[in-house]
Amino acid sequence: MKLNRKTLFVLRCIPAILLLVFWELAVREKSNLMFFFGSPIKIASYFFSRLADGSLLIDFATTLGEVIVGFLIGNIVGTAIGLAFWFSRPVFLVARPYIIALGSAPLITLAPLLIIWFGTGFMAKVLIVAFSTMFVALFQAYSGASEVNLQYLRLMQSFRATKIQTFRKVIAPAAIVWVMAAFRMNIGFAILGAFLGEFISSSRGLGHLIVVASGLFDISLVFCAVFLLIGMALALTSLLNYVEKPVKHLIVKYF
Amino acid sequence: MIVADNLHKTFGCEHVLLNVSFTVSPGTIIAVVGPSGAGKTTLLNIVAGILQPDKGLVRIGKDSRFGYMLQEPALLPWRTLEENAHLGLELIDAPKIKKNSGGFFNEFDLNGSQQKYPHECSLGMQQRVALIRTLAIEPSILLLDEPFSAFDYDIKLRAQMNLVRYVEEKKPAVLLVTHDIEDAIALADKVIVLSAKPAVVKAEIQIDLDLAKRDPIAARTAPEFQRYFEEIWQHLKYLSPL
Repeated sequence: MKLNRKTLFVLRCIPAILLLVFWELAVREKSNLMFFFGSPIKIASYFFSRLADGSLLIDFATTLGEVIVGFLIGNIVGTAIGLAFWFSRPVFLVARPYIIALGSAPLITLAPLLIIWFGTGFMAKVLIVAFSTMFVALFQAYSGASEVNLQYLRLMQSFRATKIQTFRKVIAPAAIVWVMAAFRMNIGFAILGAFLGEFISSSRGLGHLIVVASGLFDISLVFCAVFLLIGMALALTSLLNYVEKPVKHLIVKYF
Repeated sequence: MIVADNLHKTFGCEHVLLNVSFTVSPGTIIAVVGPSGAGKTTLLNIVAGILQPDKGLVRIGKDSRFGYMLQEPALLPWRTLEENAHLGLELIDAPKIKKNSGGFFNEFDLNGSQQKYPHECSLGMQQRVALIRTLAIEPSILLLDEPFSAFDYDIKLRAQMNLVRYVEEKKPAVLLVTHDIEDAIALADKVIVLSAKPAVVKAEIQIDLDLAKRDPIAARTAPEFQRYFEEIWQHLKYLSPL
């Protein structure tokens, strides 16, 4: 069966709607269940009331800002280092254990340190996000660059191409697919990083909202913030899908 | 001009080339035939400067430009055929050569396919583009590694006509590695027969088909053709493990 965009969208909405309806009917007029699980209608009313007083928008924008700035820094720095390692395998081999050590240290253990060093503000969260996305980008970029088809490298050799020429004509266009895959994976890591930073210490943001609401056992408000984080991830992923092709084209064309 | 003098090459403890010498003058085609795995590609890589010989040396004319067509087309999948054909031009420092491969696309029956991508094309088409990519930089030393292996027969003959015309016009020194004895006789001024590993020059056969001018199609019907074929085959049949 061939689906057009509209039917696909409708079909995708059906499970969510069924879930919400079931949820609402299950907790309705049962105050103990309502206490533990919240209710979709209450979630919606929180959403609209907090949207109206502006507080939700501030929280959302704060987290989104941390995610985007940290994501860009982490991915760009990670990709640049990963591609740079292609130029010298010995350097990569020396650096690898350090990178793996840094990359595998659980973020939750490092995040408090970053907060101590860089304060509780925007900057510390950006760094946490950058830190949590950098290593995926680095390893993907290096893998993409070093696993280029050997035929293409022989081809460049046959033209006596320099290392820089080989990088521009073959390595960069071949690695872009891997780099884009890293960006996609990193959306989730970036949101996780921002949440973690806010969870540890913050005065604004969706993570902050979740901490406060769960402290008050206000489950509906927690869900309201969780859904917004999910929405943020979906929106960023579709934004990435949208820019992926032009970016690839740009790399191939101008490198 | 290529002068290969007494080339030796070993990989580990395996001897690949022993004492291989030959000369290719500008405007001439030397074909190298030999059993598969004899080290023909290694020989090309040494001439191209990609591999260093253990002993011996390769001398080339001053300001030589290499055009080396590899055994596999190796077209870059993110480039169109035309962009692939221009790759060499982007890499070499040759402002005088125009970035125009239109004539080549025409000659090699690829007109109209310039904007296609490699995955949309047959291996034979890809190989033709690889040949165009090599010729487009106007090399003074042309190294061809099984350049016609994926061609259809009629396209092969026409491509060989074009190649010969190109050699007459631009006078590169051509070293052609092939497993096809007929191609070797039809194109080359001299055929070098290599032995099985380690490769030594088993025979050098000067080809003179007594044609008014070089013509790979007329060559195949020349009276001398059979005799050369027989002679080369006599050398090869004891070398190939049949």
